[in-house]
Amino acid sequence: MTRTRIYFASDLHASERCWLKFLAAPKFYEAETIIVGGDITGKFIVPVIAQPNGNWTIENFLGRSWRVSTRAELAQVKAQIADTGQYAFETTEAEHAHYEGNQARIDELFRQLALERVRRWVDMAEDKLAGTGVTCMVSGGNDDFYEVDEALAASGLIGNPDGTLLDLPGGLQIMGIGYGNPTPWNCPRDIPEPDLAARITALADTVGRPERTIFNLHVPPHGSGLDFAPRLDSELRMVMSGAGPQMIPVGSTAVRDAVQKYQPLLSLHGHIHESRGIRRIGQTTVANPGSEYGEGVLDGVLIEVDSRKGVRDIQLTSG
Amino acid sequence: MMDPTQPKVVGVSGVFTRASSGLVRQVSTRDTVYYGVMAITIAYMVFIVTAWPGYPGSSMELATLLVTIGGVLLGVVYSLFAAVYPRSGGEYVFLSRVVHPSVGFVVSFLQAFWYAFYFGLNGAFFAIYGLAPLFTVLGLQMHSSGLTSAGTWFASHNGIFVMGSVLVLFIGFMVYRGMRGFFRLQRWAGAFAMASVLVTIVVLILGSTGALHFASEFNAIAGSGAYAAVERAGASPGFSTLATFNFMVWPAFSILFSVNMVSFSGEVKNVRRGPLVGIVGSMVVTGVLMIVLMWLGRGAFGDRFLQAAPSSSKVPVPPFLNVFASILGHNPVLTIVMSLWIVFVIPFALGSNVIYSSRAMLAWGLDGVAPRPFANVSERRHTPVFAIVTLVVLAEIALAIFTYTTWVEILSGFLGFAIAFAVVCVAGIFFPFTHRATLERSPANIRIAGIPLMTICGVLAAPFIGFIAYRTAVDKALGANAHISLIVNGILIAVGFAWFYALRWYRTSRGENVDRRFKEIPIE
Repeated sequence: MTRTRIYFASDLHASERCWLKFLAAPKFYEAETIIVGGDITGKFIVPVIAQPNGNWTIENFLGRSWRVSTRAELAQVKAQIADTGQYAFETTEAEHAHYEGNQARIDELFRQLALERVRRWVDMAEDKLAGTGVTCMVSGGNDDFYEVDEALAASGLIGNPDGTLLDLPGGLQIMGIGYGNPTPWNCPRDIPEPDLAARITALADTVGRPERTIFNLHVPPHGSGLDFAPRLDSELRMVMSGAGPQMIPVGSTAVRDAVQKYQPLLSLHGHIHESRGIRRIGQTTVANPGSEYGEGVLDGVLIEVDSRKGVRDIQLTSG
Repeated sequence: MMDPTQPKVVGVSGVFTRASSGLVRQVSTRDTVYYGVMAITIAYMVFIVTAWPGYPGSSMELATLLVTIGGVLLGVVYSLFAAVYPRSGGEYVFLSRVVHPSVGFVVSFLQAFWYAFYFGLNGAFFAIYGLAPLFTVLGLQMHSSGLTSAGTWFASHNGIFVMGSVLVLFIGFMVYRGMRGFFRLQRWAGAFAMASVLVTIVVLILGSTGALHFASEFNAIAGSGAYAAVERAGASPGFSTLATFNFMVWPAFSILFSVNMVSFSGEVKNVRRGPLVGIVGSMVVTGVLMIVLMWLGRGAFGDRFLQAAPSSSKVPVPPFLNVFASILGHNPVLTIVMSLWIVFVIPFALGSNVIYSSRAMLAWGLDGVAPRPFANVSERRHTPVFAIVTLVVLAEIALAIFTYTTWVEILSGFLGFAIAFAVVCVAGIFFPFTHRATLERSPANIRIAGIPLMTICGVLAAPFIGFIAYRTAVDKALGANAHISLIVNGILIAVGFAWFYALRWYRTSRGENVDRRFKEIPIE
């Protein structure tokens, strides 16, 4: 009888602090396997505009404007920006004007900055984890550009279970799907539910022993309690009530059906940051660690799996 | 026409963004304030004014102003915690991280219990302060003994229990069915209630300026000379600072609950909007509305009359502000309109009670702190069924105890909330020093003369909250310190800690390292 400990987190959204914590997780939690379940790229670029007087200005970071006068101070602020999952972009007034209002150019800039960070994260992982025996899995989620997969593939250490079945310690396997059901934002990997169902089925049908397999499907099952997000109006604004935001289930029916049908050992999800929790669907333990990447808090799930008895323990963590 | 398959980008001033799930626009200032006002339950004005004679020499308006100021300070502490932990969902998580997981759980446990208690009591308030006065006054104005009898029945023990139960079950069912319909109804009800408050203010203005005459309208109902007789019995003590301070517990019971708006925020970090505006703005708006209603009420009905009415045998109607306003209006339609701010707001206070506590129970269940059934969500309705049923049962028990015994009174549960507010306040004082790096990485890092705003507001709010907590423990007026309240709070705190540590022991005995759950991973 052997036991293995798995640490799962998701939706780091480019938070440098969360990535560093993720790399420290094997030692802290004594985990043999660490997994990031998608959405590793960021949502904000913070222009840091060089001024003719030698200063730099930031119009909006943490809700306020900044003026930076020294290189050392600038490095500190840029690190802080990276910790909150944003990309600092040193630029000039003229270059800033070139981007402003042009979403195609901004998207291209996002692609460039996101890939730079992912490549750096891969290097950091190799420095930190090489020779430790830790198994590290990282995949893209619905928010991530497809090029992220190529950056991850360049690593000899990081495995990417997206669209495939990989072995894990303890005689386990993991399969992943980073695609998500449609969102109001039409993100890079949003696809219709039938397409998502087809992709999951095509992969799950290749699984020999579901009871020894972990599903890493980025989107949580619909109506599982792990998929409550604020209802939005047509302007993508939260709809409020006298008891806070109105919360509605936004998970995937395809994911729910797949978990019910295949009954894997574990089904690990992310995507909905505000809906962390652990549930059971039939025989399957289902978890969403949530995400507080913007605050530099690494939310996770710590799972103890016994080779014969299955999941022996599972708990949510806030690192 | 916009292509629905095209990526949608939420623009944020000063930064570049892209199509990314979860990136939402900030809630409008109007909405945050509006729903903060809804969370405050302005309908409680009725028993706030009714409690006034118990504090001879007090100034209702000054007490309410002081509570608004103290509440704003507390609200800033809550808002800044929300800015540091925007996704935390309130006290449960941020106290777990900032103070200790056991404290986070006990505070949440305490609040969930007392929300369940008020889920039941608000059912009773609906009958006592809403239906009974409405039907009684309508009966008198329309000379209908049937309506008057109905009013009397609504105020009876059985009437209170039956109508309270109907409302508890109805709201429990509405919340179980799914929040969307409930929220839609709530929005409209809130709008009608606000319109009703404005109509009441207009009627009170007419009364206080002499355009309408309360004394003659009251005499028409209670008999010639009744108003003068009641007024003669009223005391006219001089102003008392101490009585004013002591009276603060009543407006506090209403105004401080705006901090419940702490649970919404997003990835767009702007501390100057969102919860800060919602909490502070709604406290100020409601505080001003209450002060206006109090001042106009005193002007229209007279201080001595209001002081004497609750204990006078010559007042043939429930001695409530809305009832006197209806008599002043002398019009059945106005009576109905002016009752809406009670009849419409209280049911949604019940809804908020059950939503807050069921969300807390769901969070415990999902976190593994409570038995798994609490985490169960209806596949059809997507609501936490077990938690809602538990709350309905607790509410019915609370309603029965409130109706048929003298063990508990209106403010019996307030001590539990005051304890929670005090814990948050003290945590806010020390947080900038114990979690300096966390604060500095957040938009809550606002300083005045180098001192963190959170500490300043915590220090200033602490004496206020401490005093409110003390008064709820010792105030004899209307059962604020019902003995059972002290005992139950003691038991709840003990049970909460025992529950937490028993679970911790159980998990540790299974080989789990529970201490790691909320510990920050050290970066090497």
